[in-house]
Amino acid sequence: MALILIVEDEMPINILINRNLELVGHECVSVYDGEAVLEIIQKYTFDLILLDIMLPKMNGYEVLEIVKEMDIPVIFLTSKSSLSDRVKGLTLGADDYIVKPFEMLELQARVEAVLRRTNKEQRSFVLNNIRIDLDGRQAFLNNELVDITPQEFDLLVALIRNRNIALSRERLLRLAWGYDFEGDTRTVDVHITKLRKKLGLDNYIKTVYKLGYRLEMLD
Amino acid sequence: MKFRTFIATFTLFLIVFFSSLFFISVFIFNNQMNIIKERGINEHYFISSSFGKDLMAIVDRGGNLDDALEQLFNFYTEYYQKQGVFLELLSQGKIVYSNLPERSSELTSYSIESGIRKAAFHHIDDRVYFKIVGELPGTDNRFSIQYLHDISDNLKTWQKTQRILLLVGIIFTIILAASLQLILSRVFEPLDMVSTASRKIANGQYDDRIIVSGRNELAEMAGSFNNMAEEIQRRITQLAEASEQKQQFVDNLAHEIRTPLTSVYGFAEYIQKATISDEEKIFAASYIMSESQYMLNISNRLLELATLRNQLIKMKVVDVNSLFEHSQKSLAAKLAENQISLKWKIDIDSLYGDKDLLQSLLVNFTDNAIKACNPGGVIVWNAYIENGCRVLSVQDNGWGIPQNEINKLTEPFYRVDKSRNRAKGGVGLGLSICEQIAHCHNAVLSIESLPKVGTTVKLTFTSS
Repeated sequence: MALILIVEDEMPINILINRNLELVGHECVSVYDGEAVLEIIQKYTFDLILLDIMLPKMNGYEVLEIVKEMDIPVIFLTSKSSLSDRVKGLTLGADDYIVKPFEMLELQARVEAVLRRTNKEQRSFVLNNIRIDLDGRQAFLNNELVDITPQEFDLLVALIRNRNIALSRERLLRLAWGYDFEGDTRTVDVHITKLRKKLGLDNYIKTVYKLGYRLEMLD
Repeated sequence: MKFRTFIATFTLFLIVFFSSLFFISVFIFNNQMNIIKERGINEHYFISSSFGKDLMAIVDRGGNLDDALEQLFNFYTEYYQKQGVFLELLSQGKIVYSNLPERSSELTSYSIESGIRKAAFHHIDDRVYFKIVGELPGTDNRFSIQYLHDISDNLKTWQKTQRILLLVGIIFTIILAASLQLILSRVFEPLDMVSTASRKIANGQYDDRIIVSGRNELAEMAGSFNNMAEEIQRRITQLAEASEQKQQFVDNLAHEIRTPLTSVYGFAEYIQKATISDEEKIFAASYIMSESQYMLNISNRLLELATLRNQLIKMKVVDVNSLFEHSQKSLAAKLAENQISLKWKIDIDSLYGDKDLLQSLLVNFTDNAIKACNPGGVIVWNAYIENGCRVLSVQDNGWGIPQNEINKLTEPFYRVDKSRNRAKGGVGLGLSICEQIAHCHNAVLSIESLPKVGTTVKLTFTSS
């Protein structure tokens, strides 16, 4: 759970990012121009800022200089895709650089990565009577340690990080087994079944028709 | 080129110079030899005739022939030896007396015929003699006199002369080589400069020029070269600008397409993968629709621009009053919504052109003017004559445009707002289309603007 500031002047994209990040449990604030950032960072302590470069009133580079002093991680979000722009963005001190158009899952993955690097990621996860310790790689059901394999745990983490979002079997394979794993997508089904059984997640890990699985937990 | 010219000139010089030296020395030598021959023949004749007469006189007086011969021989040789001339008295081809210092053992082998003298060069040891043999008159062909003129010294002098000539030749050759080099360097200097400059131009340094001096053909060539370089530089700059503009267009287009695509893809993904309510689904779908609509607009406008570019329009007389009225109708809602009033002034009745295109142009200008005005703003349409040309203008009292942005306004997708936000603008092709329409009408589009005072867009018809 992190508090994220979204600075993007294109309303649809701003809203889209906002909704998607809130889905996976982050809290988001949207602003639409550079100057509004200066005001809002006085009020809240943000864990991360998603910053467009071409902004009205004050551009992203100028905003970055100010928020860097406050030690807030920044991910640039821009349609400027040239190498020199990327280099400029990263040398100025941005933590990552995302070029439009981007996929939401990629944005989420990069957000998680930056949060992990800056030690602002979620350490534990609670769902009803289930508690998962992400640091200790342990899962508890009714405060009792459940015996799950490391592979099952990785799968669980992938589902938690992308909760409320449907993940295809292929993507789950990539997220939990690693990029180079070329396994049968049936493997995913087997592990999901085990997870559901061990943690009693039948009502939470939903099978999405023709797509894959989704860990549903609407707050 | 320079080297070849040098070699050719130099070789030619060497051939002419040294052959003339050679001919001169040969001529001198021949001349000298002729003088020697002439003298020898004369002297031989003189000696032999006086010798013969003396001998005859002595013999007539009853003297002994052999004594007389020796006596006379010694007398003559004494006198001539001082002049480097030696004499020999021969009898039937055999030497009787001789005053040659070292006489080789060889014998004169030719026979002496009466009345005929023979001349030849004769080598004895390392000395060369000019030799004339002829009979001694009055001795019935029994005796003959051999005249030997030592010409070794003459030959030595000639050789010396030859050596001096060679030395002089070499010195002159060196001087010529140096001065030729110098002259060629000066002559070829402009050519060298041209070749250096053209090499630089080939490498992309277009601002190199040749310094032109004098008024000869080379200076003229340098001048033409400079002109050419100028022209190339101008063209290259033009090309670079055009390509930059194209790149800008592509970048802008990419941005214009990418932004709505990101939303479309994102919202579709959102509907597909997220657990969302029906209400949320409608909300996302409406964004997908509006963004698709926006992209459709872009493609339509681009198509419009492309079509206009390849179109020859049919020009007709357009009534200005009805043009303004029609245009106002299509803008009425927008004007009211933004609380902006529209006025017009007509000094000319008609224009010559395509009514629909002119209306689209007028609406486009006015659209921009509306965006630039605060509520309560005033927009004025004006049709009048300026410097003999018909002019259509749209004036507003809005925010104005910064001076340095004005000439970029007609670039496709150009936005004064650097954030390129679409909330207030269309797709950014309007003015490009307007410029194309103006172009079709042979009209010139000009924009004048003062920040905070307002903007005037003027369309000046140059052909009617």
